Amino acid sequence: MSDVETNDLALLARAGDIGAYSELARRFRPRLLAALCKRLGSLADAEDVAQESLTKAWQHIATFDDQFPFSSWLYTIAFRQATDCQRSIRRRENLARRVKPVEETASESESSLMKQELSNNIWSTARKILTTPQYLALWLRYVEDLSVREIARTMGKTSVGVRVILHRGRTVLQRHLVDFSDDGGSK
Amino acid sequence: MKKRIVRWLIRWWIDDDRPSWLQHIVDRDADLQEYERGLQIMSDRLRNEAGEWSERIAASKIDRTDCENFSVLNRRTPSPRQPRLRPAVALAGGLALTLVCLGLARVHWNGSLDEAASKAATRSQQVKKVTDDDTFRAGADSLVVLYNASRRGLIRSVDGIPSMLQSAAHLTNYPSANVTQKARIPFESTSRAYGRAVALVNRSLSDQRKGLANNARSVLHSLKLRLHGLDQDKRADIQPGLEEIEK
Repeated sequence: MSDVETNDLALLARAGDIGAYSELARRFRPRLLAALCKRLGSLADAEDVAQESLTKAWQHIATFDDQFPFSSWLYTIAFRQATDCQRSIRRRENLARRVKPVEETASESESSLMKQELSNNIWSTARKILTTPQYLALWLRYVEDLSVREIARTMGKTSVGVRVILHRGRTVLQRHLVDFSDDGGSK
Repeated sequence: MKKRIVRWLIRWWIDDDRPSWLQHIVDRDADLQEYERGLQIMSDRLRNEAGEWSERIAASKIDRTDCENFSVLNRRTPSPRQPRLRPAVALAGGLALTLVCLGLARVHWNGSLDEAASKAATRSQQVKKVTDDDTFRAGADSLVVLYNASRRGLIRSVDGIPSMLQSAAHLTNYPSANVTQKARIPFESTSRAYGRAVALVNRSLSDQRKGLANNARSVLHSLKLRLHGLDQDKRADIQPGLEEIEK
């Protein structure tokens, strides 16, 4: 089962094969988590949304159109779920703010964050220095291998917009990698 | 300056088919070739290191506090000086938008009603693949989440959950010894009910147990509705537990 192409598995799942869908869920769950963690900020929320998305995708697998990649369809569902989740998080935070004022400001946490040692993994760096759309666009491009048009549809943006986001993301990341390697070299 | 522009263009087309004139420029310049190689290495790293990264996140090996810090950065706090839309403008805009939507809907409605109805009928038949057993398992999963929440002291007021869980575990062939692990549910045994139960637990965290019993009851009531379509035997088994909780 592990050698079967993703879209073939999706077709099997659409025909009612729950084993095929389980395999899809096994493949995509970590990838969804990695993408959603950046978007939602919290791993716990990302886990919930990933789970919900996989569930929702299964419930609506009959509507999957095999002309498009399964990953594009699944990520579209996941991003919509993430939007809903963010709304409820905001409601929760508003409630919490009424009880207890937030002590830490964004800039403080940012500075403390930048002091942390960067991990060797490039995605760890990307998560820290890129904006959420840049991170997600790069993720869909390089990990899910989606075309610019498919990314645009998944993220609800225009193709040109996605090209610009990808370009800026690459620029920031590349500049950071060069700076970081220069710092390392000087040390 | 020229090189900066060319570098910009290289970045723009790094993973796509670039124009031949750009390729020609790059081929003639060693610096640009070096720059392109650097970008290519970055692209390769982005592809190759994604697997390890997602596995690390899935295995929760990353620093959770780091992740939480990002939540502060990602979520925008509303600025107190943010200008508000004037009510009259908002009202007029809303009215205009409604009229436009109604017009469009009317035009669209006549043509596509039959088509939409036939599509909906086909779709509902396909969605019926989710069997009663799945629904029932989803109910059991929700109970597992509630049970875990009760163990963590979040919903102590719902005392009937363990007994409900026992019967649910029995009916769905879940080993009852593993029930606590079922909060990390494999996909095939979940449904929207799980999400609702998770939402309940999340709400519980912020509400500090205020009104938790009511929340739990509402989830269970929804489960009861779900269970309504099950076989008589199964429903009879689970009914006493539901009634106990609803007291």
